[in-house]
Formats: sequence, C-alpha cells, structure tokens
Amino acid sequence: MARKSPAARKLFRHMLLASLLRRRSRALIAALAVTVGATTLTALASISLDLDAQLSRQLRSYGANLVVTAENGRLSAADVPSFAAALNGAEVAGESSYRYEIAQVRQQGLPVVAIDPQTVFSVRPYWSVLGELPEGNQVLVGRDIAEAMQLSPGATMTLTAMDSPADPAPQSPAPSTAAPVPANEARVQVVGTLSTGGAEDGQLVITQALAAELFGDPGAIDLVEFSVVAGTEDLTVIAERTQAAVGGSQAEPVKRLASAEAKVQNTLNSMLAVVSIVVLALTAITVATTMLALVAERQTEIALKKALGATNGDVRREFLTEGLLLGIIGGLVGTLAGVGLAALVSFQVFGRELTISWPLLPASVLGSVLVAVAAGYPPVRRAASVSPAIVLRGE
Amino acid sequence: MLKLESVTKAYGQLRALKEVSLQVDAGEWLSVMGPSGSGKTTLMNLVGCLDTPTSGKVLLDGYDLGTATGRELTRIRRETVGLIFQRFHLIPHLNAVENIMVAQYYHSLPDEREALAALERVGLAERAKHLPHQLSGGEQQRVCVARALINYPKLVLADEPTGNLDEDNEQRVLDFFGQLHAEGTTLIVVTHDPKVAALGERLIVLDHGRIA
Ligand SMILES: Nc1ncnc2c1ncn2[C@@H]1O[C@H](COP(=O)(O)OP(=O)(O)O)[C@@H](O)[C@H]1O
Ligand SMILES: [Mg+2]
Repeated sequence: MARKSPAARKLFRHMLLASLLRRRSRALIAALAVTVGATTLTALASISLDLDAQLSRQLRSYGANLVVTAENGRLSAADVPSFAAALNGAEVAGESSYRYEIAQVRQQGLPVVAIDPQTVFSVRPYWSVLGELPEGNQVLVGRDIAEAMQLSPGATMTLTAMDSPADPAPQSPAPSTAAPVPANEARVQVVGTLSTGGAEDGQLVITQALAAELFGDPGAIDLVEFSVVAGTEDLTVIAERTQAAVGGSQAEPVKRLASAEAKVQNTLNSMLAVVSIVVLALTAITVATTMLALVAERQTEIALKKALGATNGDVRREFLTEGLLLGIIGGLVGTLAGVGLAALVSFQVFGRELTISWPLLPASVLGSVLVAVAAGYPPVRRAASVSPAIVLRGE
Repeated sequence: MLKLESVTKAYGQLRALKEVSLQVDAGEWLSVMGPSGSGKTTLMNLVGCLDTPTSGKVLLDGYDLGTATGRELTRIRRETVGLIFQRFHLIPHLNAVENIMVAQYYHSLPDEREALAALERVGLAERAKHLPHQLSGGEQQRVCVARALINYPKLVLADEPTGNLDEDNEQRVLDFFGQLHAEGTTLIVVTHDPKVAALGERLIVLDHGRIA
C-alpha cells in the first residue's frame, strides 16, 4: 500500500514518538541499555585498538629489543646509519652503540664500556646513575667496583689500556687473562656510580672519544642496541632486514621482551573479547525484556490497529522502527561517551592522548542499531501475533 | 451482503457458537440480543474478520472468510468493516483527530481535513486536539463512531455501543446509526437494551451459542 505520502509519514513518526514518550521510562531503560553497551564496547575497542601501540611504547621503557653485533671482529660507527636505514618504516624509540675494552686500574684488569652519553638512556632507561654520565676524561664506575675499590665521585685513577680487545658480549665482564701489554694511559676522574643489577655493576663506563684515545682504532664499536616499536613478528622481520644491511653483522630481537609483549597483548585482547560478549548479551537481554514488556502493555492497542486494518507487517514495522530509534539514540550517545571514556582511561593510565580509530565510530553506532533491532525481534514477532479479536473482548 | 452457514466457533472444549446460520442483506439493520456469554461478541469477531470459524462458512461481501488467509482477512476487514466497541478503544497517546487519521492510515492515506470533517459530523470539531483522557465517555464513543465511518464501510459492527453512555450521548450515537441506515450502510448492533434493539429492522437473540 502507498504509505509514502508526507501526511502518512508525519503520522507514522508522530505515532512512534508519542508512544515512546508515553512510555518514556521504559523507552529510556532500553535506550540506556544500548547506551551503556555502546559506551563499554566503544571504550574497550578504542583502548584495545590503541593498545598495541601504547603497550609497545610502554614496554620500550624496559630497554632495547633489537641488538646488533659483529659476527667476527668489530663493527664500525660508520655502519650505524645503514642499520638505522634498514629500520625505515618502524618507529625507533631509541638507539645507542657501545665499545668494549679492558683497562688496567691499580694492577687490576677491568672491563670498560665506552658509551654515547647522549643516547644511552634511550635504550637503557633502567640505568640508575648516582652522579653524572662521563664526559672527556671522566669515568662512571659500576657499583661493585666502586665498593671494592672504595671509589666515590671526585676520586681519580689511572686507566691503562690493555692490548687485546675484550669479548664483545656485554654479558661477559670477566677480565681477559691474556698477557697485559701496557699502552696509553689516561688520568680520569670518577663522576658517579652506576647500578643496574646487571653486568654494568662490574664495569667502568667512559666516552667513546676517550676509548679511541686510550685504545686507538677510532670508530670501532662492538654492539648497537635499538628500541623499536613493533610486535614480535615484525621485529623478527626487521632484525633480518637489519642484518642484511651490513655484511658480517648479526641482528637479534630480544625475544624475552618481545614475546612478553605479545603475551600481555593476547591476554588483554581475550579479556576484552570476554567482556564484550558479556556486555553484548546483557544489552540484548535488557532491550529484549523491556520491549517484551512494552508489547505486553500494548496488546489492546496492537489489536485495535489490526482491527482498523493494520497488517502484521505494519505492526512489525512500527515496533522495529521503535527498536531502531532506541538503537540509534543509544548508539550515538553511547559511542560518544565510549570514546570519551577511552580517552580518559588512556590519559589516566597511559598518560597519553588516545589515538581515535575513526572507522570505529560508525561501526559502533551500526552495531548498537543491529543489537537493538535483533534483540527487538522476538518482541516484534510477539506483537505481530497479537489477535485482533481481543479488542472486542475488553480487558 | 453477509451469510453464515452452520457456523461453529469452539474455544477448546467450549463451543461459543453452535451451528449458527444467518443471512443479512445489504442495507439491513440487524439487532442482536442475548445474555452475557451467549456468543454475541464471538459472532461479531467472526463477521468482522477478527477471527475465523472452527467450522461452517462465513461469506462477507462475496468473500469466503473461512478459506481466506490472514492477509486477506485484514484486507477485507479494512475495506468493508467499521467497528464500534463498548470500550471505545482510542489510542491514548494520540488526540481525537489523530485517532481518526490512524484508521485512514491503515486503510489508505491519512487526510486531516477529512478527519476533521468527520469529527465535526459527530459534534466534536472543537475537541479535535484533545487526548482521549481529556474527553468524556460519550465524547470518546463519538470519536470512535467517527473513526468507524471514516473509510465508508459497507458494514458497521457495533458491540454494545451505548452500554457505557449516558442518555444524551446514547441518543446522539443512535441518531448516527439512523443516518447510516438511511445512507444504505448495513448495520449489526449488539445490545442489552430493548429500546436500542427495537430500532433495528430485525432482531435475533442468541442463547448458549444458538439463535433462539
Ligand atoms: N478467547 C476465548 N477463549 C476461551 N473462551 C472464550 C474466549 N472468548 C470467549 N470465550 C467464551 O465464549 C463464550 C461466549 O463469549 P462471548 O461471545 O464473549 O459472549 P457475549 O459477548 O455474548 O457475552 C463465553 O462463555 C466466553 O467465556
Ligand atoms: Mg460481549
């Protein structure tokens, strides 16, 4: 039947709004259920979508996750730009290089690490320095050495280069047992102590410039560390690309960190999925029961409309449109509230502005409408099945 | 116009109508009386296409209602029947003129001017924007009458239309029935009131589901 006339549409709209208004407390409950559902899900989805990046960035505070060494011998500072270029595309949160040597101090061979004080914290944010990082002829002393030798800031000592380069692995601070061949000497001043709970506690830290003076071979490095914002899989690919960039180099993702990152993300994602399903179910149940109550209250009205000539389709259409309206209202309000909530959580927890995923917004409104309409389907069917005969029977 | 052949309507074990046969000609005014529970409303439901018989034939305006689908019943009801109830049954959240327009809406197209004209005919032009609860019982029934007539039905069914009305309003409603009858509309009026029944051309009395 032709129901397209403006007068017909106007009456249809009015019937709908008037009926919702008349039962505004119930309509409000249904719309509120959709709103709460949409709020929760939009907030969760926003956070979840933003989380990969957030989490990756957060975990970067635990240090480097990509380590480049030489397969044999040493790397050169000149290689570093090639490595960096191989990372193109990935977000690099930090980068620093190191050179390992052995020096003699008071007749004792000690491991020395030469660093770049400008960048070392970008990959080793866990370094706890009491005093300052070294400059020029200064040395930062590992906590164990400082204790054993009773060194405190301001003390001086003489570093004597020993010939053979140390094992490049940072985890092996054991002094070389090769015959010491004294070379250049430098008088250095202690500027601080370093404690990390790791190998650095037994090392002396100097600048790379001083290392070049003492040990020669300027530009030599043994290790480059990167902190890359990427997932486990990406990191493996990035490592391969980096290694291929310079012959004789070896790039390894720091697996422990990367897989911990993935585990945290998986756990969070499955938790979010469970919560989402529960919220969806609760929303659907609330909408369905509220609309069932609405239909039950309006049996006589439905019967009357049928007696006046409304088809089952007409009745279904009216109730579906009511559900649709509740879905749209709830969805719009809920989606906005959800994004707001996500932004708030993001700010409070991660201390950072949320990156809003724009396609999520229409998806969330559409989802709310679908849930409202789907949940409204059983009540709508019940409405359509009301017999018109009850209208003559009185209540 | 209307023909019932040995119509039975059963609700489970209970037979509300038992093999009722009846013929009503176009333009006739039939009164139906009978004690409570005798099957008067059941009869109206069958004739008004609101329900289907358990057995027997109901022929309305050339259609066999027993074999019609729900959709067809709806269409026949919409095109042929105007209903007036004892309990008025106006939609509470719509005003008087809108309640009439709803009947137009399901029939064809709402037309506010025509709906207002119908209200004027029942003497309620200035109450058009009032909601049902702002109208007296008599006024509500007059809105209901205007609604039943808005689509020019060939058959008007009234189930105790004056049962809840004061004398003044009862008279107004009955005057309308007289007008309708004069215009050639077929009328079936269920009533407890012998005065009302006497206005019809013919009277049947139902008792325990049979025509006495
Ligand atoms: N939907 C129904 N289910 C069961 N019994 C019904 C139903 N409708 C009517 N009846 C029974 O059918 C009989 C006739 O009812 P009805 O036609 O309403 O009588 P009347 O209108 O003459 O008072 C009554 O006994 C009533 O209880
Ligand atoms: Mg009755």
